[in-house]
Amino acid sequence: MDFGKVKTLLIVVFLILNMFLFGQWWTLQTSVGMYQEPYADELANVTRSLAEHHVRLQAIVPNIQPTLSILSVTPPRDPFAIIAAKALQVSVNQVRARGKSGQRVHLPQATFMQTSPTTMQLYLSPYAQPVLQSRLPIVDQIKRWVSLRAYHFNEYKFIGWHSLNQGTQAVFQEQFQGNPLILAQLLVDIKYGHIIGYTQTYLNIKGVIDPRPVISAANALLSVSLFMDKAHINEDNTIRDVLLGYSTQVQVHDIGYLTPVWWIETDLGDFVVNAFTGEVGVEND
Amino acid sequence: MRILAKNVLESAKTILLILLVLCSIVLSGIVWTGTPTEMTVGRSHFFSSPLYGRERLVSDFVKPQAIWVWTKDNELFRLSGESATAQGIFQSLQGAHMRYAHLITNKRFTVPPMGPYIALDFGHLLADGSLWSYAFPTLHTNENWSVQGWVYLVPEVSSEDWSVYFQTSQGIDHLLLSGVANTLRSALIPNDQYVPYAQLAYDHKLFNLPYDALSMRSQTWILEDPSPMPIVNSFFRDPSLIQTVQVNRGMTVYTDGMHVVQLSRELLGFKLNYCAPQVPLAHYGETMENALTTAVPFLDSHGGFVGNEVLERVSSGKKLDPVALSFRDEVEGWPLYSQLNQIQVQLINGSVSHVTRLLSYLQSEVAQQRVTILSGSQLLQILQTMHLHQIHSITLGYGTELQTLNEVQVVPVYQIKMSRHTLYLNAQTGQPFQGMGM
Repeated sequence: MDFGKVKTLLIVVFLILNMFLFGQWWTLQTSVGMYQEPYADELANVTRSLAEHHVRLQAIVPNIQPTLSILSVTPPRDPFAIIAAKALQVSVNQVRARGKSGQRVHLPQATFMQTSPTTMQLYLSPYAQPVLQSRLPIVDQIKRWVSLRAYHFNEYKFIGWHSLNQGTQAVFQEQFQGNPLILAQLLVDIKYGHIIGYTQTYLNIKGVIDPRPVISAANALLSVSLFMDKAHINEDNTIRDVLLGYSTQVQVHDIGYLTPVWWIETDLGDFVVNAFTGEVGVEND
Repeated sequence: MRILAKNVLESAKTILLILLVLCSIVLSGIVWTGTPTEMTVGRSHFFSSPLYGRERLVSDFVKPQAIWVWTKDNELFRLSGESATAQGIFQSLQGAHMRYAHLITNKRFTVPPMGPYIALDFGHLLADGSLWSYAFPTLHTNENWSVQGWVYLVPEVSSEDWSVYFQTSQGIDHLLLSGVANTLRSALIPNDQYVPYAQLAYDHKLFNLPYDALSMRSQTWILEDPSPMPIVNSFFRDPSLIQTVQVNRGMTVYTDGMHVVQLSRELLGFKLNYCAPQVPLAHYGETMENALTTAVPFLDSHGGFVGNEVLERVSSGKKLDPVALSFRDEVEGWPLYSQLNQIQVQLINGSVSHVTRLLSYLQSEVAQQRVTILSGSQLLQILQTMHLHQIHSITLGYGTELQTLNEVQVVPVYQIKMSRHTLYLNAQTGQPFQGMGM
């Protein structure tokens, strides 16, 4: 048997097989591409649909569909005394000695209290309020000060400012794997160039369940448009922001459940679209 | 030299063959893994549990709770909505031509008018006027009358036509009914489906109560306790997202982060509480028609209806308050005062936000016994001995009692509603009735 001829035959067979497989791969690529509507077209359709309800889209619509999970959350794990000691920059024993009610500690320089299982507040006495230097970056100064006091500050990200009647608030948001926990905020109060205190909502992520891809922002906006149809909402409105994050919808005893949502901020209120099922809720109407 | 060239060629062929084999393996892998598979992110429809209840139509629920007939001989009778005569009255109204006459501003004219009449008790169903077209489909009008109390059908003396009177906030409205079938006039003559009633006074108030000691059926029913999971799953768009929390031995909570179903084990079976939190929209106003046309299809696809449920109450408070609907069962045209076969629904922003129902239900009747109940006057004597005051209403119906683990006794009872609480008396003995799940 001439082994050289067998090799030649095998080369021809494999060449044909590879050509066939390459053809298959090419066909798959083109057929998948056929079903994919260009994102810009999808967005244009949504914009048109929203315009029918007198809603203008003035926001950057993210073109992302990451894989997210439902999160279960609990209040902070550490005892109140430890959290309060860090916030007040004193020892745990000093907190235990002064905190009679167990959820509130009053010292001459500051008061620290827990207003709900997940929310804490620190108010500084006027003489203890640090002054912000105008020659240094304000955000950096706030971060440096609050990082020494706030609970798990490294899990928060600065997102902007809130204007109040008297003063402003620096807004930080708790993050989980790069996505915000929308209602878990750390608000640092600033008045006349002084830090006067902060309010912190902290959620301890207990379990992560079932990761899966979320719907696109365009689909979420389409769900809002359908919701407006059903609820007969036709007032002039403008969408200002479209944000993917986690939002608390349900509390079962001491466990809260955060579901991935597309948070759609408008002039007249916020819509919350479940990023798995497309169901729409209303917030802050 | 030739041998050397041949060796080089063979080596090149070997290398080429190896490359081709490797290439085919890689391409096979790419084609295998790259084949698109159908990926389901969320379901677009709820799935129903067809083995549980059955579907009903919205129009099934817009009908009178009871029909009252006042004859020429000044006798009062009650007709259940399920009776053949009541069906005949509905059919007559469907075929008749109805047109608006005028608003009666004369304050001397009151309802009920003098002489014979048929009164349709719609409860509060016509209170906001949105369900008027379901009740009287032949009247084409843009007017939505907010009816307070009963709708009276009165025969005209001089012609075959009928007048329709009802009280609204403006006064008494008058409609004319022509082309009415003879069945409506013959409904004024009592037959064996009519239950004789009398208007009896108690505590300076008139109550419609049975004239005679009626014969009713005390029944034994089998209690069906279905598996709860199919109906629990039906409340979630995507059941694969459900998280389960065992709160205690008798209570389990299911949630997908947006909706919650609480399942608790009670004596009569599983009780289901569904909740979908919603912030009410400031501008949104819910009509009874919107509420009913949303709630009935929702219940159809979430377990369905298990008995002869009727719409007992539709209530909406202030503008942002949820609209509440209450469905309860009827046994032989009498109301069933029980958590069994009762469904409570709330709506916010045009969507169902709460459902409460007991999953176990009365499946089939296995035994019955005829009992004679107290007449209205006998009942009032008992109430007098009990020194009961501030009574709002007295109605006859059925109550339930658990006999064995899966058998329920359905017993005739009088429901006495007072300003602060509701009392049930066994209609046969007049003794307080401590039923199960009432």
